[in-house]
Amino acid sequence: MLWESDGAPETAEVRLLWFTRGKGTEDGAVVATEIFSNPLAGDTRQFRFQLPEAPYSYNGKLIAITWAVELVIQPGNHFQRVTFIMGPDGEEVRLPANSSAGEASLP
Amino acid sequence: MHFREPAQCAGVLANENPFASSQIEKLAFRFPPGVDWETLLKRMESQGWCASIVGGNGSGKTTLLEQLVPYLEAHGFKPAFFRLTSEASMRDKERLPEKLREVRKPGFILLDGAEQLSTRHWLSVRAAASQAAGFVVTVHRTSRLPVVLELETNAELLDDLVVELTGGKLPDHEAGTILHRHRGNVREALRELYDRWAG
Repeated sequence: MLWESDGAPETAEVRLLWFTRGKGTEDGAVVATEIFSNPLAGDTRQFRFQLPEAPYSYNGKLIAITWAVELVIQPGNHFQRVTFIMGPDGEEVRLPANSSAGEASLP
Repeated sequence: MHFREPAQCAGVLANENPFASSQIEKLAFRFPPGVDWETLLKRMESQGWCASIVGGNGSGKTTLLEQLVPYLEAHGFKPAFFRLTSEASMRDKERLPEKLREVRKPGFILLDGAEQLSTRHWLSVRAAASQAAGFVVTVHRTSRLPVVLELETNAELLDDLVVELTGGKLPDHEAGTILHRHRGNVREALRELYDRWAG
């Protein structure tokens, strides 16, 4: 991960998170955080996260679950987010086309 | 450019649905003709920064209040947002004055959903807010505090929002039909459009 800022940040951290998108109010959670000590104005850092078992990335009609890593720099609450897929064989979970809300099951 | 009906989209998934809540939250508040942020702030100032915004369900009151925050900050205030929904418990209402008393100048209270308060609760809240630099509430009907803006929804508003969200236009008169079905509630109208796109 690399960044360039006008001055040395007070803090820089990378977060592993998931969030929902869709018809209802968004939900989400930060699963893990790694704080970079002594961040410089221009810097390159490595990070490593252990992914949890769930939830898998999912994109349905009513709701989508998206995973991301996010760099957050203070002051100013500047952030940059990159999404990725977490699921079996690196693919989003998709329900069968004929499943209804009450009968959904994972393939 | 015209609105693409769900049949043309073969059902859109959540991440691509233009009516997803995350997309709707990005919509800028639409003022009635002749009113803008500067006008609104001048009206509030003329009322000693103590005022109400009136509108029915889904008319944009919450959106307006949320988007008001940076404008108040630019005026040197520190907005503190409180929200009462129809699910607010008696305990929430009883505890609200205590929370409001903690807001001191330049703190500015924004209270969304003041219509949820009984007269007794309102009097306690009103007294508790007296130490703040400002106190603006949203309500369904005129009462309690001077009105600085009254919100109404119409088909043109829904049409405008649809164009911004989808790049396409609803068929003629469709916006009016949908809005009528939802009694003027734009939020619910947009949720119906979400379902139509989802297929």
